[in-house]
Amino acid sequence: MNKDIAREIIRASFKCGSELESLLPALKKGCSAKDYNDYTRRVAKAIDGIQSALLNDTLKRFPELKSEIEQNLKRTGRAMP
Amino acid sequence: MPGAFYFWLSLMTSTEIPERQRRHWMRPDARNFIRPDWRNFVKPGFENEFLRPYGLKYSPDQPRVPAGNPDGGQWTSEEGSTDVNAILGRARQLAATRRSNKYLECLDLCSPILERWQTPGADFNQWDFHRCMNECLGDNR
Repeated sequence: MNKDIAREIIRASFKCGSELESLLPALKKGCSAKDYNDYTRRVAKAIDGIQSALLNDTLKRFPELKSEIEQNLKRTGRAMP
Repeated sequence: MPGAFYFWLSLMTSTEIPERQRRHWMRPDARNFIRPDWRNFVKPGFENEFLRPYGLKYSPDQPRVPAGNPDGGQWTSEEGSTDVNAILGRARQLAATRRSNKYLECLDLCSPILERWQTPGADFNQWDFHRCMNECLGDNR
């Protein structure tokens, strides 16, 4: 695997996580407190699943991408713009 | 096209254009298109003028992580319940313990990070959540 593919993987995992994260405001509006808490945990579990499956391994292979992500976040607010 | 962006920005922040007219020109979902780094383009003190047409509010009193810290400048929670540094500290403590339901405890500890307000499209919450879960459970999962 090369670094560009690693960047693609990181970009995709953040994109998937972002889709899931964007559910939270709608859930807060439309669900009972109990359902909201339950779904927040499920969404968090799903995001962690994506991150531990894709992000952790990719960052282990290319640790320098971690500082690239942090710089990107400071500069643009996005992990891999 | 940065020129077009600055022109649009000047229209959006101009005090000479009535609010009603400004809204008329905007898409109803315009707030979803604000760049995550919008603060870099707005003069300090004019944040609310910029955000008002989008139906958003800027809170300058909302505490931020001090400069010099890796999270420097990011907003933290008003009540401190989602203060990332405090959560990461608790995650480290939890990491040192042996519990059967540790995963769920870490999830409950870190998930409030995902509920913080952030500019649409920004990845701060996910990144901090990722750091929190790794602090809590290690990255060799």
